[in-house]
Amino acid sequence: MMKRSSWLAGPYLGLFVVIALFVVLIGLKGGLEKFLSFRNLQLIVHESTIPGVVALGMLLVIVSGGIDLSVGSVIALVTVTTMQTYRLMFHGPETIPWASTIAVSVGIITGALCGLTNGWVITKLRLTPFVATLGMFGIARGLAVWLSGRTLISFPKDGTPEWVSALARVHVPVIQFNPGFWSLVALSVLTAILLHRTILGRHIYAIGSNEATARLCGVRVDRAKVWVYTLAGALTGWAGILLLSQGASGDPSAGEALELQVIAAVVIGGAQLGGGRGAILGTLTGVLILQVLNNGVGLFNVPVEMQYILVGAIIIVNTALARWHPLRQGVNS
Amino acid sequence: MNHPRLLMANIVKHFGPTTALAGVDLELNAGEIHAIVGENGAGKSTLMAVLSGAISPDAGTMYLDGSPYRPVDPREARQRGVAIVHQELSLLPHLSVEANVVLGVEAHRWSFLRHRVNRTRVRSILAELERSEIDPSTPIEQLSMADRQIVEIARGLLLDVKVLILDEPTAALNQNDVAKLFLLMRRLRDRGVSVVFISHFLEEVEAIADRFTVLRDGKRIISGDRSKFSQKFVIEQMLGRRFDEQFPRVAHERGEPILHLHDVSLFRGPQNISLTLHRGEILGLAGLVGAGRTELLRAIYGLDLVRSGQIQVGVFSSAPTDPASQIERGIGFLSEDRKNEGLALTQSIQDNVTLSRLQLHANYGFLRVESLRHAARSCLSRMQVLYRDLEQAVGTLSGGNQQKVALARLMHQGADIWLMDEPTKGIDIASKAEIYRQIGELAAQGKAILMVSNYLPELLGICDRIAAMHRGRIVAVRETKKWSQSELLAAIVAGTSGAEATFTTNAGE
Repeated sequence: MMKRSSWLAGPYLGLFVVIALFVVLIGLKGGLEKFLSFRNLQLIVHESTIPGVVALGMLLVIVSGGIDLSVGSVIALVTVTTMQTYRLMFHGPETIPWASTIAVSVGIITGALCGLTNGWVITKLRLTPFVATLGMFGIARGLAVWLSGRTLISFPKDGTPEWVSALARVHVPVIQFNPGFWSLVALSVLTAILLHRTILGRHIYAIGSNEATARLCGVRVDRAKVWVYTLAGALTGWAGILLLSQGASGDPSAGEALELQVIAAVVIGGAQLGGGRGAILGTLTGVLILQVLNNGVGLFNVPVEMQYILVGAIIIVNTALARWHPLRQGVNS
Repeated sequence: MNHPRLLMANIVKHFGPTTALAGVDLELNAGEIHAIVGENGAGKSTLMAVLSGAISPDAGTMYLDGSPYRPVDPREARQRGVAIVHQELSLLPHLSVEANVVLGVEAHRWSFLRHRVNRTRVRSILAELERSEIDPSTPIEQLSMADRQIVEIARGLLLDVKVLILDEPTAALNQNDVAKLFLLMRRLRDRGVSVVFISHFLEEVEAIADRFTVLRDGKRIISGDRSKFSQKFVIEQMLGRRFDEQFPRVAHERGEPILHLHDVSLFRGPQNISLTLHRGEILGLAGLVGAGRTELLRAIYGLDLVRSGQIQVGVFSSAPTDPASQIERGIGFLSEDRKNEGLALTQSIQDNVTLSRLQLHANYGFLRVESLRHAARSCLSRMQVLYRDLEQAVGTLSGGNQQKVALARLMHQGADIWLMDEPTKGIDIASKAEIYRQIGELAAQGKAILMVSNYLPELLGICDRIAAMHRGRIVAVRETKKWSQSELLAAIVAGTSGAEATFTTNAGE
């Protein structure tokens, strides 16, 4: 276990560096108590939730040696299908629970179906994940725009369910953080169990490390891959529900460039784009690094062009840090 | 002035805590073939890497033709006349022969390639190697392994070469091509080149080397004229102890049949193959590279498609669909391509050993970690693998130990039928003998073994029966004692089954 955690030192160190950087910068300028306040932590956590949930799925995909470029489009499609289903099922306040259940299920299923399609295209048509999900990137976005009638769609009058406002609240009493965040915590634990304690998880690492070896060892590679993309899709579906709540709308233009942000988070977290390596804690740290960064540049009031440059530079430096770990050495003879 | 061509004195190299070279001396004369032998980890590859400029030594001096020689990189070594042909061919598959040969030393004018000059240079080298039929514009991926080797050598000869290092050049070649390579080595020697030859096959060393050096544990043990020492002596110098038997045998008895092939044909390669494998039997498949042996094993394991015919495993007679279903039927497969297919080198030893049968250690898909560890440990110790801990990446082990890990996986899988493609490829003599003993043990336990090897002494040494394959067909299947090495060679090279063939499986009847 020691060895596993030592290479995770990269992302942790990165998070520490980013926080330290802003403590110094903001401290010099004044306003440190705001940056370090609990209310700000609640905000950071709130903003980390959606990329966090999507990153869990992305981690599965990347560990298996793939990539998913479609998550941003799929998340938009999910907000639209969920909202349209809700509007269809809603007939007055007493139908809210029923309409909510159906709508949320439809949303998650939409995500899972997109993932399943990705998985099928990759395993049956033998396309590379990059190309297959690039296709879905376009298709899902197109469907979202079409199903929404090219506009933002909102809840019917007097029809905004209670859970939506609960998921949108940043400063939450008692449980401290937004329930969406707690769902991320639960899903992280489940994903970690999947990756490290189940046969499927072992197979995912094996496929990412060397697909030919995995096949040779009797791993049903195609089946495992379809699972990976479907699970990732379902996670994106749940993230879509959270996004719908935060914006209280179905938004066909939501989630643009989300895929890049999430891939960056997973890679900063120490996963290898070629597959076979990556872990949950690193990934979550990666998400947090990016959100602290956004939050910090916001508070520090840097001009927008500096924000872009800073984010880009820190992605590079952090990934380099994540790669840095004592080389596994020693050749037995 | 009578300098040796190359002098290496007291070369030391450490990698972290490991001492790879502990003060090695080596002299090479002009116009000799000098074999360097030693077990895996003895320091051969490191010494050659120092010589060819790939790594710089921590201490020691080198002289080339009497003048100090300390290359900072392979490029400088090449310009000084020291070239290496690597064991793992290091060619770029998409680029042409020409581009590969001149890579790094392209003729150019203001950075624009001088196409005609380059092409002429490459043509003349290929002509010198008597292989002018190789078209310099052919992409490497379209060449056979033997031709790729020629291209590697051509690359070495492009600049005026004084020392040519061949690192396990015969590993990927069949007997015909080995003979051609030897001819070429002798010609280079006669031209005054020092040819350094590294090989695990002592028969080859005996056949070609003028002088030899034995390395063990990063030290030179002995150098001398090849003709003055026996092979057994050389082996014992390599091992540092007595060596009894190259092919240890474990008594075993043939049981009931377990694998039947009826008239099996693939889309490519093997045609009309009929063969029966029994429990407690070691059956060898001999043939040239490309004869279809590997394809046959892969088809039985469900990796390649079968076009017609029947593969019957025990009571199951339906066609193999994929490795997963064949594993359920008790078949295990050892790939010849350990690096790209046989093992996931970046994953832990434990994962590599247990991957093919995780279900053994799971409840409803959830793994029992302790049980996994325990099983991995016991299989590894049965195969006598040397390792630090189970979480260590397999790629950090030596070749011989990696091969044992691959075998430990089949052991963990509990296969009844072991399909082994080159089970001793690239591993040293002591490990080979150990693997032969393990194979014998398996047969004694009633396992059925079907093994492919390019190394005929090995097949003749441990198999009960040997099937000779030629161009996708089985020429003859005989008990090992009814094959002589020359008959077997004739069968696989020319497809002739010999006069006294007892029962032949004739093609296409």
